[in-house]
Amino acid sequence: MSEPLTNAGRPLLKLAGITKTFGPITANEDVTFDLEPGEIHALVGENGAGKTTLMRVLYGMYQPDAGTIHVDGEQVEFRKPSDSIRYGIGMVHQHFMLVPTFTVAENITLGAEPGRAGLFDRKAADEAIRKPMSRLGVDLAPNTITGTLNVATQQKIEITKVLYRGARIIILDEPTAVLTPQETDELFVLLRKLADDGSSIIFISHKLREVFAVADRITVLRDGRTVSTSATAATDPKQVVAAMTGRGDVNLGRVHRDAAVADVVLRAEGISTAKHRHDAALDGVSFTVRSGEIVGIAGVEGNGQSVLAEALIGTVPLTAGTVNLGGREITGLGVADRRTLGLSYVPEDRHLEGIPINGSVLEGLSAGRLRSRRSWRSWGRAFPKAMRAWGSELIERYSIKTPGYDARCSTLSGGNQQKIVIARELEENPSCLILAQPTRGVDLGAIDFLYGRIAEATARGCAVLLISADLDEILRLSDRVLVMYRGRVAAEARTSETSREQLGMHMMGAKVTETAA
Amino acid sequence: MEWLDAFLASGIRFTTPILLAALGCLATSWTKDLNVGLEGAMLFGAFFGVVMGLTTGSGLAAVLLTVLLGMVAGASFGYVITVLRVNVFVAGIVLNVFGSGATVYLLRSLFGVKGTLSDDRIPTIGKITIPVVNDIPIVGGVLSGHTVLTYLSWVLVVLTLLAARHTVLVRHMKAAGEHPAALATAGGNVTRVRILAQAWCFGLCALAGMQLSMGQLSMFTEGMTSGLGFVALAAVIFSRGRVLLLALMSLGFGLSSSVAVQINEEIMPPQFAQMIPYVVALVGLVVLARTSRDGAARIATPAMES
Amino acid sequence: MSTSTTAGPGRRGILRRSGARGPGRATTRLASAGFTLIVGLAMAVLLIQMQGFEPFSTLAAGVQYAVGDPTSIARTIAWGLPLYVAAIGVAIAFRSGMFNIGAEGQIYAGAMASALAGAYLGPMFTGAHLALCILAAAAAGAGLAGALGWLRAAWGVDEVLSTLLSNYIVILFCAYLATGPLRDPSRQSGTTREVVDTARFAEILPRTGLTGVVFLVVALCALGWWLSEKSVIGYRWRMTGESPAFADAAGIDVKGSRIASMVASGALCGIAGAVLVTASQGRFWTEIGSGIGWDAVLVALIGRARPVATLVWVTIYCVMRAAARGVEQVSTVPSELSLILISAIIIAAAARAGVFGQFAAFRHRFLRTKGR
Repeated sequence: MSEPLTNAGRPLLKLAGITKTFGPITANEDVTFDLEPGEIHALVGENGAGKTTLMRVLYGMYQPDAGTIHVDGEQVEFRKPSDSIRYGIGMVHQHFMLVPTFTVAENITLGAEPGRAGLFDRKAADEAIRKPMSRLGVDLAPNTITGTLNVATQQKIEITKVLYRGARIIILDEPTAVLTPQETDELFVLLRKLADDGSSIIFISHKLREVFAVADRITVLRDGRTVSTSATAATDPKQVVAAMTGRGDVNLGRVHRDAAVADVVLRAEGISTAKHRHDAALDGVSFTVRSGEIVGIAGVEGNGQSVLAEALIGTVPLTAGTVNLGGREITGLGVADRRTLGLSYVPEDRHLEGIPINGSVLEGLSAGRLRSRRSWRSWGRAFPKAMRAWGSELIERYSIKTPGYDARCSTLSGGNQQKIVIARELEENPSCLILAQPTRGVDLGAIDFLYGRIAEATARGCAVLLISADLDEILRLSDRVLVMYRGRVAAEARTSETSREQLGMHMMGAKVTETAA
Repeated sequence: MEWLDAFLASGIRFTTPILLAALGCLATSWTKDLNVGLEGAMLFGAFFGVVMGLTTGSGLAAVLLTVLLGMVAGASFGYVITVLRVNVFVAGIVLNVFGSGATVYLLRSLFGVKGTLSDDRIPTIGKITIPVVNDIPIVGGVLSGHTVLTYLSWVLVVLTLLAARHTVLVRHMKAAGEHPAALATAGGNVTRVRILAQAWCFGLCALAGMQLSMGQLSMFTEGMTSGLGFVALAAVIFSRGRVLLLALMSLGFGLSSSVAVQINEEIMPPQFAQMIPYVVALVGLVVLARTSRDGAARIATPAMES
Repeated sequence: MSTSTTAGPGRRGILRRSGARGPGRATTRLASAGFTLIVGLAMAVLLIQMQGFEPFSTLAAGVQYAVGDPTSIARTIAWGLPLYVAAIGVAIAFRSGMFNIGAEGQIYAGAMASALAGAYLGPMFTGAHLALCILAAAAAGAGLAGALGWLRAAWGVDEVLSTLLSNYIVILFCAYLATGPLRDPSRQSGTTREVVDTARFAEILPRTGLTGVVFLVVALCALGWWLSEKSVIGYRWRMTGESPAFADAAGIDVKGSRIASMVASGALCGIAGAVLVTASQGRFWTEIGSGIGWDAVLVALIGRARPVATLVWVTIYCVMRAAARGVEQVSTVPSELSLILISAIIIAAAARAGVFGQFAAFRHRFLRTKGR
């Protein structure tokens, strides 16, 4: 642990000995963190390392069990967000805190509306938000409905909101998760400009490349404790990964696979859908996935990838086009029939679609096995002893950390929940596996494990369609990449022949004709 | 023409309790804590209006005290569903059962009567007769000769409409419903706003109840709301947070109730006539589900987990 | 999920119930039940005291009236039989996420159907006639609930509001039949003709009102429990209720499950109506249901739609109701006491976690401030 020597006297912000427990779980233990004026200080750590808890303590959303917070040398106590807002702290949350049906002006001023006697003065609001908006280079009519804007713009609205409230300390929680590489670079330029103007920035991330690109100092948290704080120039990614995971052997490069690419298993031809929820409609998407092959689908979220997964498994109806699985057309079939024919699906929203969040582990594991129980057999017992034994064996084989097969799914960590999903889907021995955001919210150890299982499946001849917002994941796993933009396939390339920058260009919709498939 | 006159006049009268309850419920639909206990709250309002009326002997005092009582009850209800985290659907259903049980209990233990309490000393809420307008056919029946509460309900429509556009409070209610975390992180108080919405809802339900027990009649009968609260709930669901549409819906339900009363028994059995508002609401619900873009509105039912 | 505690083929004995659903939960559940009962008791004591009676002796008299001797126990249970069936029915629908609060209307529809089958068909062999009455009732209830279930599953028509409104429509329609075309001409009030003797259950204990229907009720409760908690069908229904998106993605027929559970629920509520007619009333009259459907909804809510918990709460509720009637006989406390108590109990049960949480937070804050 290297304590930096500050030359600017006392720091702007100092957290010392912060401890926060939730029942038996210790989220933060004796955490120390400080922030200099005009500095970008990155806070890194795996999922569940306690980054978000620490920031919520700082933002007054949680009260710490022990420890002190000093702002400008003054000891403070934050009981609610408005307390920390008063001390010039602002937070840009990972999930935007914007009301979709409100206008931009309404959202920015929410909680500090200009006007008298409880009346909302729209003119004054439009006037008041102009300056922070121009500081960020946002050019929008104040009465634009927020929900219609793209994520990068919404994020800027979030930052505007923080500036409008006069924040000197800006916390950004995983701000790049929803951005393209180019948008990320733009954000970094903006952050640097804000820091040069005197704002101090806490940048929370688990993506090391970004941390090294933008931060002045890096603090690593692991299992709720501070592991190290060091100047960016004085450390390197390898050291930071070791600090994050506590291990020296984490592979961040390409995943090794022995799989022979053979016949086409999944073939989509000109498939289109209606617009679904927040995602774009599919518009004539065609592609194939071969046995033993992993095809990655990249793209900024909301360009049709989620709908694509749902259309393939059959929860969203097609308006045009056909889907073939192993030479059989499955276009008109329901989910159950598609699954019986060898299609498997790891859904993107684990809590909603992947597992019965309030059900038991066994209930989550056994969906596939119980599906085949039809007609009078479905009056029989769902979980006889043989089924429970099978569940226990699966728990062991996939090293799912749970007190037992009847534990509630919601009590498990994200990685273990995802193992339930993967176990269930792979146990069906599918000929084609659709993976939607398979490692979102999963810690690095579990990611290694999941990748290993996916590699094994392809070695058995399984065709895999990998939909991910994480370009690194796609580059590490897939043989080919398709980039989706506004419901179409904008580009296709072999992973070995493309680069993150090139994919990023396509994700933004740049027209490049020579990469036509 | 006399028939039409009577029909419209009674239609307006029937609209009042529905409109008042629906305006109250509207606030709870903004905060996404749709109160399904309107029926029970109205029944309490009707009962306590009569009790306060008999105690104070003054209609005005009865109205003010009962509304105050209603708002306190609403705040407690809000406390239970926010801080104590009781599902609002469960609480609402219980409120209905509680309302029908407790009013009978109180009626029997306070007054020793079963069924109906009628007393000459129950003050009525004043009716306003507008001098010239009253004599115009049809228009007179619509505009004149109603209780103060009827006029108040339409004033409240206008006020709610203005409040929805121009006040910070309604903004916060909508934010608390749509994205509570956004309001909380911006320094707003989500719990307070949700409690306020319930207090407002109960206050207006108290008015709606008193319109029944002291406006249209001057007596209290067991279960005298007879489903009006649910009709108001349907109006709120149909209007999807829009005030003018809500007023229109309430008026529609009021008029269809009026049909039930005005229609001759020889044309249609009384039970069928009484069914009209419910059938209208049910058909409306189906039509809404078929026509709205993002599916029909759902009442926030609890997850049945342990 | 009941399981044997022996470790089967699972190595290192992982084939056992985890602590999460074992004793820890049982303690919480007991604490919860204790808390709610204490709230109910305190409420009862308070209300009786306010009427100017000595609470404990009055309550004791009420309890004596409800369960004091075998005859009164039989009477209490006999009153509760339709409620057992209806509550299981409502619980089944709740468990699959269908908030069937139209139980009252379905009970009326079932009662009307069985009263008509009992009065206009037959006389015939008793068993067959009774079966016919019950099937007619089940069909009426199932048809009604199934139709609303279909509207929800296929068109997304909110079932809470549609079942709610259906109550009024069905009850008014039955009232029309009983006062109009199907009225018993020999009677003044709105009732249908009395059912033929072969469509009535025989009393098994004289002068208690407890009839052979009790066996049917036990069988139906057992069936409802098996269906909802043990069978594969129940698994599909529960997944549909708890996590519809999961069920959909896993290939469970969500629409089918929703409709089927509503059909089962409606059938049971309809049978509850038939029980009213064939085991006690002998005919349909305009207020035959007297709020049993609403009671069933409340009880299923406190039982969190678990069949066993629901049945336990039905029993408690029946005793409370009978006791309230007993209290009314020895004092001026109205028997609506039971409705007030059950409301308090539900809110207490639902708020328990919140109340304990508030208490813990308060204590935490108190200790912290003291520590400084």
